[in-house]
Amino acid sequence: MSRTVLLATAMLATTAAPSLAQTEKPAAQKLDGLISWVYDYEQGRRLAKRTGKPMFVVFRCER
Amino acid sequence: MNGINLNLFQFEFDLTWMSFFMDAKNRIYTRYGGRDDSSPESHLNRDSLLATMRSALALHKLQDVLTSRLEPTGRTVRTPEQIPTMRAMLAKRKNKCIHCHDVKVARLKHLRNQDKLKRHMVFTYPTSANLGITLDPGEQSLVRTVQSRSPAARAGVRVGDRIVKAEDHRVLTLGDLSRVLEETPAAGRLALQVQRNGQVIPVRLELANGWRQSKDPSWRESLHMVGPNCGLWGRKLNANERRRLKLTSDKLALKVTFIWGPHTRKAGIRVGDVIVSLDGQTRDMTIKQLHAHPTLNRNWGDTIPVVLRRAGRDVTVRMTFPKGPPD
Repeated sequence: MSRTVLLATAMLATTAAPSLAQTEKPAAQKLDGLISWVYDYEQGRRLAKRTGKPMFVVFRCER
Repeated sequence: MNGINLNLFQFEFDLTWMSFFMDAKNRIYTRYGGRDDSSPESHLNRDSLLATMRSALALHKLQDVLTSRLEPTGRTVRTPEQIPTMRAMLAKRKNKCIHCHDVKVARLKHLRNQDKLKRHMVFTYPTSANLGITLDPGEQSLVRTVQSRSPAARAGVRVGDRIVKAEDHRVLTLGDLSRVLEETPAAGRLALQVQRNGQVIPVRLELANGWRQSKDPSWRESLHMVGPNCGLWGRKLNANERRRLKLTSDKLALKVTFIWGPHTRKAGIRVGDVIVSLDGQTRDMTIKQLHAHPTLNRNWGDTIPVVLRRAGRDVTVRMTFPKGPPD
């Protein structure tokens, strides 16, 4: 399967926090690898709408 | 989980990996992820993920999104930061990342503050195992085993059946089934449609009180919210250490490596002690399983006996849990 068929959206424990103060927003932890992950859900939605592709939304939590 | 719409993304927050296949209108095709008691990756593998991706692409072509009454619309946004106890939890941390399990812990804490917390609430997102079914890890709607005298066995579910729907909700994966089970009452009925020999057959499972509980929830990060723990950390003895202490492999043998609970120190437990019995439990277990026992079976303020192997002798101490949870 082509990896460009599905939009890959990674919702890590580090995405933006609108209700926290600006200084408290954790930075996104970017993933290495061949997939171009989108780290913001709304950005992923806009991309899905524009391209007509479905989204693959992943939540990955580290402890 | 910072800023995530919890009304849209509903899943087992105790786990470490979950995914959704969706369209741009916030509608869901299928869920992939979830785990049982055995392992965080019990139902995560390349073959099943690829199969789910293929299914999602086919469903996307048809715009065949999930439409059952269980599907969240996510129209009203509710974020983890809006859970009343979350701000206080984050205030204590340098790193403001909200982990998946934080969401559940904050929710349980909020219920506790309202005096509404019940122990069984920790058992979220039951899996097929709670019905007495093992699903194939690769083809996740395919029934691999049926436990005798289980709700599934009594309803006539058979090995080789393919679960097509649960309560009118399409089932492609364990994640899909688990979502339905989360919304299934503490006692009641569950309607399944299974495919058998080319035919779709309705079956109805009778679920008795307590069906949501699983045998070994010690992996759940949120477990500590529902009861007291032993206030210590430890490790299992290795084979040589067991031999020296004459403890067979089926017996409890946990060496205390760290103590954080004032009640633990007060009981006289020391780093280096080997726990061989806790509240009458003598079977081999991990440190997390050890904590799970009082958390699920004892109350705040209770006193339990603990037998320690110390300098070659067994010493019995009594541990009294704090009267209530820490703030």
